[in-house]
Amino acid sequence: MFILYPFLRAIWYSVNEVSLLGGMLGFTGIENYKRVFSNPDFPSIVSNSFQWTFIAVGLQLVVGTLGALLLNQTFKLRGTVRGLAMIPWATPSVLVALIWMWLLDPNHGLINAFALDIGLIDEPVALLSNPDTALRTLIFIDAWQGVPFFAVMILAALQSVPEDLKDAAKTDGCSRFMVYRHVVLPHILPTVLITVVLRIIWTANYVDLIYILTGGGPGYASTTIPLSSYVTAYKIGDMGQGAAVIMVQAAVLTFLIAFYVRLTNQKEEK
Amino acid sequence: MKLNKKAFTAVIAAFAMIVPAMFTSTSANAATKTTIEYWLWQDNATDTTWADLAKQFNSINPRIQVNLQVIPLAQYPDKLATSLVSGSGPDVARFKDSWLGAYVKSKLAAPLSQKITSWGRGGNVNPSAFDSGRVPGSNEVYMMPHQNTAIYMYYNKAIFKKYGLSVPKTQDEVLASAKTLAASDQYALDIRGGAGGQDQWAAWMLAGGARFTDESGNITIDSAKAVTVNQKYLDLNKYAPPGSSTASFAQVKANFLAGTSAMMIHHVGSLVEMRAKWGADLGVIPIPAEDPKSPATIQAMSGNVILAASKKQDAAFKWVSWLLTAGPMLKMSMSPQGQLAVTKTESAKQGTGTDAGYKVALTAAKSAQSWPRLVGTTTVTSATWAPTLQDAFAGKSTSAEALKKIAGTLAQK
Repeated sequence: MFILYPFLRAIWYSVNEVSLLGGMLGFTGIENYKRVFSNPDFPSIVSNSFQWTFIAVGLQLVVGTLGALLLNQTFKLRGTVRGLAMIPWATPSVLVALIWMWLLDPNHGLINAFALDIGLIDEPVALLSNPDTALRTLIFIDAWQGVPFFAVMILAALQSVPEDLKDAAKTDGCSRFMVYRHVVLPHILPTVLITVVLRIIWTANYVDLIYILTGGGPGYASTTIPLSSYVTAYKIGDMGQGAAVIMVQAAVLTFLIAFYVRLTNQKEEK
Repeated sequence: MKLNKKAFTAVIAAFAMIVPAMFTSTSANAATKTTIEYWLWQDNATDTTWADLAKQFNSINPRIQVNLQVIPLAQYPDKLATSLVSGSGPDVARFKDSWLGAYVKSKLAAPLSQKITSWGRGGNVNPSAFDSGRVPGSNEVYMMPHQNTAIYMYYNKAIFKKYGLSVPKTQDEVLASAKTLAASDQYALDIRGGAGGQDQWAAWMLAGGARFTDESGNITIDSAKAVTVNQKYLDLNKYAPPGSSTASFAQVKANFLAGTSAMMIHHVGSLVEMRAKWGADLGVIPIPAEDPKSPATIQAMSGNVILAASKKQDAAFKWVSWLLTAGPMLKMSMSPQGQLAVTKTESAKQGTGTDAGYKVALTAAKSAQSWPRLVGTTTVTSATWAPTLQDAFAGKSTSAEALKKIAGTLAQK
C-alpha cells in the first residue's frame, strides 16, 4: 500500500491539472506529457540525468573495484583504513554538500587557495558556477561519496571466493590475472551487477547534492529529471506537470528494476 | 506502617474530591483558552525576539495561547503550501508579499479589511504597507504588514578612498567605478545570481527606470528601457567576484565582509553585522539610479496572513494586530533580525538616534515599490528568475530574451 498508492496517485496526477495550492482542477489526459516534451530545456535535462547517473556510477564502479582490490590485500592498519574509507558514504548528503560548497568556494575555499598557492591556476575558478563544469563537478562529488559503497560490496564478494578454487586454478597453471579472470570475476559478477543496478536507481533519483550545490544551475546546466520535477511541483506549484516529468524517469527505471529482480532471482536459484 | 480502615476511607474520599476537581479545572481552562498555531521563519536563527513577543502576548491575553513553529525560510513555502492543502496548516503564517497572489487566487488567505476597520488603529500604519497586502484588482487586504525592507547599497569607504573613487550616484558611475576597481584587481560588486538574488536585481531595475507593470497593469518588465537597464546589470558580472552569477546571500556577505567586493546590495537586516565589521568605513547609500533625483528601489514586505481555514479568526487577528502596536513593533524592528517598522510613530523613532543606515533605508522606502502581487510572481521569484539570469550572465541568452521569459511568467493567469 505504501508503495502502490503513491505511485498510482502520481500517475493520476500526471493526467490531471493539479495545483499545489488549488488541488485537483480537472482531467487533462496527456496534456502534461505534451508540455513536458515540448519544453525546449527538456532534452538537455534528460541528457544531464543520463550523464549524472551513468558517469557517476561508472566512476564509482571503477574506483570502487580498485579500492576493494586494495583493501583485500594484507597490510598494517587494514581494519582502520577500511573504516575510514566508509566516511564519505556514511556522511549525510546535506553535510557532504556543505563541505564541498566550502571547499570549492572560489573566493575563500581551500581548493582554490591551494591551487593558487602552488601556481596551478592564475585566478580563482568557480567550478559550480560555470555551465561547462558544474555538472562534471557534481558527478565527481557524487562519485567520491559513492565509491566506498562499491568498495565494501565488492570487497565482501571478493572475500567470499573460496580459496580452494583459486588454489586449484593456480595448480592448473593459471597466472594471477587468469585466476581473477576465470575464478574471481565470475564469482563476484552477480554482486557487482546488483550493486550497479541499485546504485543507478539511487543516483538517478538523488537530488539533495545538486539542489544544495547548484540548484540545477547555472541556468539548467545541472538540472536533472527529478530536480525538474521537484521545482515544477513545489516551486511553480504545478503538481500535475511535476508528476508527468517524474513519470518519464519512472518508465526508464522500470526496465532497470525488472533487470534487478531478474538478477536477484537468478542469484537465489544458484 | 499500617493504615487503618478509617484513615484509608478518608484518603480515598479526599482523592475522590480532589481528582475530579483537578480535571474539571483543567478542562475549564482548555475550554476557554484558544490556541493559535503561528508558523514563521527567523531571519536570525539565534535571536529570541519572536519567542519573547509570543510569551508577552500570552501573558497579557490569558485566554489565547500563541504557539510558534519556526521553519527555515528555504523550506517554508513548500511546507506551508503542502500543509494547507492537506488541511493541517497553521492559523496564522508569516508571509512575504510576493507570495500573496497565488494564495489569494486559491482562497487560502482570509480577507482582513473589515477586521482592520473594526480594530481602529490602522491609521498609524503606513498606507503603502497595507497596499502590500492587496492583490491587483481588489481593495481587500489579505496580509497584515509587519516588517519592511527597502533595498539599499553598502560601499567600503576605505577601498573607494584607496582607488580615488567618489560615491556612485548613478548606475553608469557604478559601472565606471567597477571598471577602475577591476583594473586594480579589486572586485566591485556581487551580482548574486543564486537564491534570493531577485530582490537586488529588482532594486537595480527599478532604480534604473524599469517597471514591472504600467498603470493599467500591463507587464512592462521587457520594455526597451528595461532591456537597457538589465544589460548594465549583466555587464556588472565582468567586475564581480568569481562565482557571483550563482552566489547566494552567504557568499555575497562573506565577500563584502572580507573586502573581496567593494560594494554590496542588501537591506537593514545586515546593517548591525556590517557596521560591527567595518565601523566608520561602511557607507550606506540609496541604490544608484538612472536619475538620482528620481530614486527607486524594491521593498519586500513581510507580514502575517490569517489562513481562511482557521476557525479562530478573531484570536488570530488579535495576535497579528498586537504585533503592530508600539511596544512589539519597536522591539522587533530594533532586534538583531529587525527591519523597518511599518507604523508611523515607530518609523520616526527608528530614524532618530540610531545608525545612519536606517535613515537611508527609511528614505529609500518612501520611493520603494513592491513586486507586483500577480499569480505568476511566486513562480518568477522562486523558479524562473535564477536560471533565466544565470543563462544571461553566461551569455546563453540576451538581456531582451531573459526579460521576455520573466515577463511571460509574470503574465501567467
